[in-house]
Amino acid sequence: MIWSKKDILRIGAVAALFAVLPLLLPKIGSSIPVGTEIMVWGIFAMGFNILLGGTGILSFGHAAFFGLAGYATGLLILKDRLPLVLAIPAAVLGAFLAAALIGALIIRKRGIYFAMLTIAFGQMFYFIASQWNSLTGGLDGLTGFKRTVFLGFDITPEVNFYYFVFGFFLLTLLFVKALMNSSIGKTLVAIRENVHRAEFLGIDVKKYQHFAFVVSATFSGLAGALYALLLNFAFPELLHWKTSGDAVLMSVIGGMRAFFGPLVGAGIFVFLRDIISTYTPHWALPLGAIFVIFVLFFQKGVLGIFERGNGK
Amino acid sequence: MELSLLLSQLFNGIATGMLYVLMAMGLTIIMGTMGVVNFSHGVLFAFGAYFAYLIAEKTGFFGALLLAPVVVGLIGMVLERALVARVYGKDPLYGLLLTFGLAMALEEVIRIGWGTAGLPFSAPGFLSSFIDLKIMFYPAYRLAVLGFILLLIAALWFFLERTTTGKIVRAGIQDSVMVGILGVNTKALFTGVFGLGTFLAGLAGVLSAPMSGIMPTMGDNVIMPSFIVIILGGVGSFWGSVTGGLMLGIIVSLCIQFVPAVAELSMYLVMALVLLVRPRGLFGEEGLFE
Repeated sequence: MIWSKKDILRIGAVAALFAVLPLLLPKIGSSIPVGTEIMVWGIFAMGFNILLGGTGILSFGHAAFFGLAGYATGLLILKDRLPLVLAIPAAVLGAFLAAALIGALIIRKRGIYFAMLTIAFGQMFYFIASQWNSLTGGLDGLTGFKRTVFLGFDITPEVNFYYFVFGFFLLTLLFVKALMNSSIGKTLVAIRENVHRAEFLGIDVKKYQHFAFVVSATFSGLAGALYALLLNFAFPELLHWKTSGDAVLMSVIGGMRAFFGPLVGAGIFVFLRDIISTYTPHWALPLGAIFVIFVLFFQKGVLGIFERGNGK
Repeated sequence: MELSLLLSQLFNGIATGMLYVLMAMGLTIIMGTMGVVNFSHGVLFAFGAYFAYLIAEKTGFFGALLLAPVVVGLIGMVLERALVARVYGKDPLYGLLLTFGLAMALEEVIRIGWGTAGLPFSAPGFLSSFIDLKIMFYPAYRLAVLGFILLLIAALWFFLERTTTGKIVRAGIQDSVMVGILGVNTKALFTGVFGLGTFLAGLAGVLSAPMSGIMPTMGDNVIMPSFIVIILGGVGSFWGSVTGGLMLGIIVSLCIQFVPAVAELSMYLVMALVLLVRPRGLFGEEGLFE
């Protein structure tokens, strides 16, 4: 089995929670799109964490793939009139190819230099999106496209779109878990724990790191495509390195060494932002402060705190 | 193409580049000594400008130029003692993450304190005119900034090369563990280096305020170029920062004039190219972070 019984139970529990969430959200004064957003960021962060928590590589450039697929989805619907069933896979494929190419160029660089290079390449995408007015709508963003039907299923209403995203969300959880359970996943962790030992064992470290980079970026692409459809809008900030930073923030706050960590981080991020922003527009201050506290004192994130509570 | 246009853009490029140099010097000594990539450098740059705005109301421009960077440097030292010092010796990624969160929070502090709109800030009266350089007229303030930063770079060079404290700082960039073993109080050294680095960021903020105005996100516009300067020049390298800063300032300014569409893109292209071809930068030493 690629999933243990425990995995199935845990993923099933999370799935059950998200299945009934649309009923709960309005009751606590929130709304269904908030739940959709948590799942979208969850897909982004869970995929991202294959790279960060899984194999120990920090990227500040995954927003490029997120935004690229977002724009691609919008453009394919708007200009080429592609149906969603083709537009979404095409956009994700675009993110995959971009990541394969950029990854091949930069994966040999280590640590800080790698992080800086991801920013550099990410910002190139950002500036292209914000400058190429005729294609992308420039700084105003890309509007005029709308999510409609996906294989006969009308995803225009908020609830329908929620369950549409829920499907992808569930697949993401299952895939990431299966990947980390597989020998590939174990190899990634081995590389994170000790690069030199992995090399001595004859593992082609760069190949595995490149693989992790591309897979994580593909999930960024999926999340970006869904996010553009959620908002019916794509804008340059989607590609900005600060958006990449949000994915980092979610992974760290939730716990980058725990499977559900990034998802918990995404939930905390969206909720905190929404709750705090009803009181003050300055939500970035408490969020930044919380992040600092986690980096300093709770490096295992929220789920790491629980782990300690269990006496593990 | 007019020669005067080309020349004035070249001058603008040098002036902008000089600001990048100041920023990059601060970043690079911090990075070289403590191994911390300080993401909050841009926001401290903005703090420099905002403090100058406050102080200038009481003392005029020169009082602000003198005091604001000192205040920023002191804030830097407090941040270093309270927060940054806790990640020394850990994976460099933690320093980057910590200062990223710090930058996020501090930028919001600016918005709370001074609002989101930009603030006006003018150069002192006698520098607000244009100077006749025979072939063109050029803003006196920019020329003054150019000269001032040149002097400052010379002073920094003198400090690092010729004074004992400066030699300790340079030794720290080479190998801070060894410096500690030799009996230097590295705790004080690190705080001092962080203070000096953030002082330079504050100073760059004050100087840039009359040229590009004051706004909460002003740090964003310089933090990335400064990182690129360091990568171009090489981490911990004095002349690398100077060369990298001037190169980048000139490239961007010329692009703004002649191919505006790629102006901002150009610096990332340059960075990617250098990193791919020569990862340690033009003057950098092999090994640091590589």
